[in-house]
Amino acid sequence: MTEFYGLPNSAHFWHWPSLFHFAFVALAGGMAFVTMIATITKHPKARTYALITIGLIVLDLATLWAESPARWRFTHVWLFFTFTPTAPIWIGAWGLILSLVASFFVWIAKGPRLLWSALLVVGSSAALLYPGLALAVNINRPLWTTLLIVLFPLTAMVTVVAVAMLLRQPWAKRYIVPLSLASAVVGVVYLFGLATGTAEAQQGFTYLWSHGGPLFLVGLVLLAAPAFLRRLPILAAVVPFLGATVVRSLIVDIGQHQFFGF
Amino acid sequence: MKRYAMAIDLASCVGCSACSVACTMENDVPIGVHRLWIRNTTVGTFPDLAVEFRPEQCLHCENPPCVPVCPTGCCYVTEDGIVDIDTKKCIGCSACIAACPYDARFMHPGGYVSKCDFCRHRLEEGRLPACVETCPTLCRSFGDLNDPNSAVSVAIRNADRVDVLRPEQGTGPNLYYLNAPAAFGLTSQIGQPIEEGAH
Repeated sequence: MTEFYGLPNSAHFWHWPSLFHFAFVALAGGMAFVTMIATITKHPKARTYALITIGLIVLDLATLWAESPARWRFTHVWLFFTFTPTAPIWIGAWGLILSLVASFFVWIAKGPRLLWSALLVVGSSAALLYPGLALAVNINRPLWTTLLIVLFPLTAMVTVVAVAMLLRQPWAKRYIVPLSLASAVVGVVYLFGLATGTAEAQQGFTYLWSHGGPLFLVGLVLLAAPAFLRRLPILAAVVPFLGATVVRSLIVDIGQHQFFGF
Repeated sequence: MKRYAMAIDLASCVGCSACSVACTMENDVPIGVHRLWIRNTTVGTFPDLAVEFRPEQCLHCENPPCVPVCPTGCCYVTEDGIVDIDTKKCIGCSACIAACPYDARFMHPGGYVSKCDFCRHRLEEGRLPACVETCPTLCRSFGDLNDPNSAVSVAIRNADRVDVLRPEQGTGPNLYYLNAPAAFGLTSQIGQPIEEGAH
């Protein structure tokens, strides 16, 4: 039997607004990636994509600001006056700001296209990678495994391609099935890794299962579904979008638990 | 160069919680969060029972996982080994809270992360941390680990058993638990042995 005088600080530190951030940053990073490809290939819609990227990054930054407990202390400026490349959030901040600047110049069609493309390569990669990285570095939390470095960029691209399908972009149809299927496979491998991993990983698997496991499975099924929805483009876009968002949100929310506190 | 560390003799700790109260008073810790708490675990089965009163707080690790993940550099290690926070640079992102394997960090209502700092303000005045000064059973020892004659070095040297929390995390804590009452050492949260001791 264990009792406490005072309590360990084991409560959730990221609350529901953070889940919106993880959804918006997926869209922002993914859209920056699409803008980068469109800029390099001189796609006729490159400027439109750049404008959407700007909107999504601003939306994501606004979400971050709204959820920040330091929103009136204006300390965020330190993100850009320090050099801390070991911190995924620092990488993400720079990724988003580089993508924002480059997208702006692509949108107004000024300056060297090659430079903006290069900035978008770096910025969009950082923005896509950092959410998974920010979780995976915490080896003390068994649900945040290194596999998230793959799963999060993949699911981010699923959400962006799904939105592109809804906006009737002809190229998007080609990518939704491979991306969502790959996400579903990585999701299954993630669960399998937990279930057959260390004692702590197995504790994590049990905890995930009891706190949203069925919903997680639904998310994986939704991710796999586009393979069977080729003739229903709207559903083939909406269904994996929901699947990706559910899977990401559950990992962020439930994964905050570590088995030391209580 | 100093390397501050603390040792807690679990054979002497009676779980009175005076250290926790002293910490809260000294550092004006807000209601609902704790820099220091006591975990009381009963281990064994009758008649072979033991109670482990284990005070827990920031362990001021040698390899603190909270420091490299801080995006503004506000989490840092002082020259004397204290893991501290520059609250003026903290953006409240909670990355350090996520990284801490010991649940030692919390979000202060002022919008920055806070935790035990070994009462750094007292150390600068040549005083001991409030928890050490308050303990009625003198189970806490504090001092410079690089000084073989410091109270903490002597306590560790004379202990029958020395453990640290979650050694498998590789954090190298500078808070040592001496003479754990259970034969296997420290308990985990469910009263089972923690995988292996420090020594």
